[in-house]
Amino acid sequence: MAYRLCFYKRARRELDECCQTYGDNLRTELWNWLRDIATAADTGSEIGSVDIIDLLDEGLSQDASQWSQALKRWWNATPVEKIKATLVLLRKRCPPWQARFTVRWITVLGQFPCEIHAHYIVDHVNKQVILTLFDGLPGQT
Amino acid sequence: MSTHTINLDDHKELFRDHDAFESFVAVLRQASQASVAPIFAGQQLLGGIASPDGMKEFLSERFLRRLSEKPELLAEITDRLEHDEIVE
Repeated sequence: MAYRLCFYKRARRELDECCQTYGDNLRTELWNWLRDIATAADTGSEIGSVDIIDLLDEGLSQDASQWSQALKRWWNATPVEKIKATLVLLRKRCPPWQARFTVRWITVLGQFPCEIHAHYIVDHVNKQVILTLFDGLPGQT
Repeated sequence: MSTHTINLDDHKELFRDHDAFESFVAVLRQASQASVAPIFAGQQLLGGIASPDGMKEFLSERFLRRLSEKPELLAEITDRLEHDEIVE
C-alpha cells in the first residue's frame, strides 16, 4: 500500500494552479506520478530519486578538485551558510525522515516537452510523503 | 517508482523481417551501455534506459544544476518546511 500523499501548502497551490490551467490529462499524469512516488516510499525503492541531505553533505565535505562541474557551479552560486542552515533544518527531522528529489518528463498539450522537479519529504513514522516544492510545472515561473 | 517490463519479442510483428528486428535490438543494446540513455520519438521524450548508479548521478546533476541556476530554491524549501502548514 502506498504512503499517504500530503503537501506543504504552497506546493499544493502550485499543483492545483497548474492542473486548473492545463486540464484533466495533465492532472491525471501528475497525480499518477505522485502516486508512483508514494508507492516507492512505501517499498523503500530509491532508484528514481536522490537524497537531498546526501547531496548537500557532499557539497560540504568533498575535496573541491573532485567535484563535478554541476557541483562547482552550485557551490559558487550558493552561500555556504545557507547550505549549512538547510542541512541543520533537514537533519533535525531524520531518521526515519528523508528529504528526496525526483524528476519527471512529460509532454504538455501533446507537443511541449517539460521537465518537472519535485522535492519531498518521506515520513516513515506516519507513512506519508509530503511534497515540499514543485519546480518546472507548466506555466510555473 | 512503478515498473513495466517490455519484451521486444512480443512486438516482432511490428518489424518487416528478422534482420530489422535484430538491428533495432542492437540499437537498444548499445544505448543500454550508457549510464543514462533518454529515448525520443522526434521531439517527444518517451522515457529512457538507466542503470541505478547512472540514474542517481543523473538526478544529482539535475538537482545541483537547478540550484546553481536558481539558488533561492534552497531558501524557499527551508521557508516552507518551517512555516507552511501541511495539507491533503
